[in-house]
Amino acid sequence: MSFFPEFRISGSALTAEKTRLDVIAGNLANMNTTRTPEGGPYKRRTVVFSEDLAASRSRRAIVTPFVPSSATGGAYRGQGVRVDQILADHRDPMMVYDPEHPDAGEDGYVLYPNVELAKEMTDMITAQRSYEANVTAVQTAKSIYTKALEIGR
Amino acid sequence: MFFLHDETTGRLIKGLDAAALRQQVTAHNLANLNTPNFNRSDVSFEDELMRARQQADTPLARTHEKHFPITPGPEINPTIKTDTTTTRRIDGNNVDIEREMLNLVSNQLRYNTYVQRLNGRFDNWRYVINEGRR
Amino acid sequence: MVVNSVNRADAFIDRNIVLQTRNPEESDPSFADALRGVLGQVNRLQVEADAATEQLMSGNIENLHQVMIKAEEAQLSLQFTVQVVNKVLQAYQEIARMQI
Repeated sequence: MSFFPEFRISGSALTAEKTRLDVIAGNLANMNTTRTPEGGPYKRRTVVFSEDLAASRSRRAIVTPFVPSSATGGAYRGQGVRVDQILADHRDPMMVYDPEHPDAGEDGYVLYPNVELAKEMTDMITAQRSYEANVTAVQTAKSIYTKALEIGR
Repeated sequence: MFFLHDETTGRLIKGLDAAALRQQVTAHNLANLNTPNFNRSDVSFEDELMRARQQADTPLARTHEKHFPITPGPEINPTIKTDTTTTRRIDGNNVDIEREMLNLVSNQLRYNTYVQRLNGRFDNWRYVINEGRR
Repeated sequence: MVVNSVNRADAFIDRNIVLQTRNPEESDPSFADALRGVLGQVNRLQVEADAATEQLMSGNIENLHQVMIKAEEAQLSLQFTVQVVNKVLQAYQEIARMQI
């Protein structure tokens, strides 16, 4: 996002949480979508986050090694977070008995998306909390840089 | 760097290094607030200083007079430690948002304090140089 | 409270640098040698500050405080050296004015 490392790190989190919010919004919008082009009801989507480390694109979180020197540049590899993938949730769809429905099967059951409102709302709140926390991190980083400019004045 | 030869100023500068690094580490922790199996990290510097100072008060005994006397007060450098001991949530993540936010604030204040002390030193030098004109 | 750094005026003049730049014909390092050594240091600090600024501009903004500190050091050392030179000139002029 920018040159400053802290902004890059926090920026990555803002992007990731925004992506998650988008996915949640898509889930909520399609809560009652019983037919899709691929056939069957809409499948709930989730995001998979992983730690973003320099010189490492492995999905597993890697323990940061000790850095026994005063140099702050280059040795710490934490670069924030990334969205590894957006997964489709393959759990069984919800079955609602409604023979009158045009999408009802032979048994009279309609397949509804496996989206739970409570879960989506909780995820949304978590995402928002994280978003706000990372915004604060950006503001703090900005104050630190501004303060550094006051050295010697 | 002949103005900054004294120990305290050297430590102040290292403190600034540590604070800047801590900001970055805390930002990384916060960015991974919801990453499964993530371990938070910390930067330790001031604690090491305090420990070294406590050790300096109790000089180490020598078993043989030819041994080098150990003068405590080695060079302390900021170190990054990964924390694997704090409680985890179900997704394996041990980042506590309140703790990180508090770290942001306290670290910022620490940075400000170090900058202020450093400026104090520079002011002293500037005074000596300029008043020495007379 | 002991103000360590200001008490020790010899902290300004790094003895090694003075010994390196001295004229090998003379037996003791003279004031000229000391001055040469200090000027070398001043120049080195300016160069370091410039290098740090260049690094800053090319995107490595991680250690802004280091850049600021180096810049301040360079400026202080320059001011100090100028004052010393002024004082030396003053002393010389005063001696030159003395009537024999």
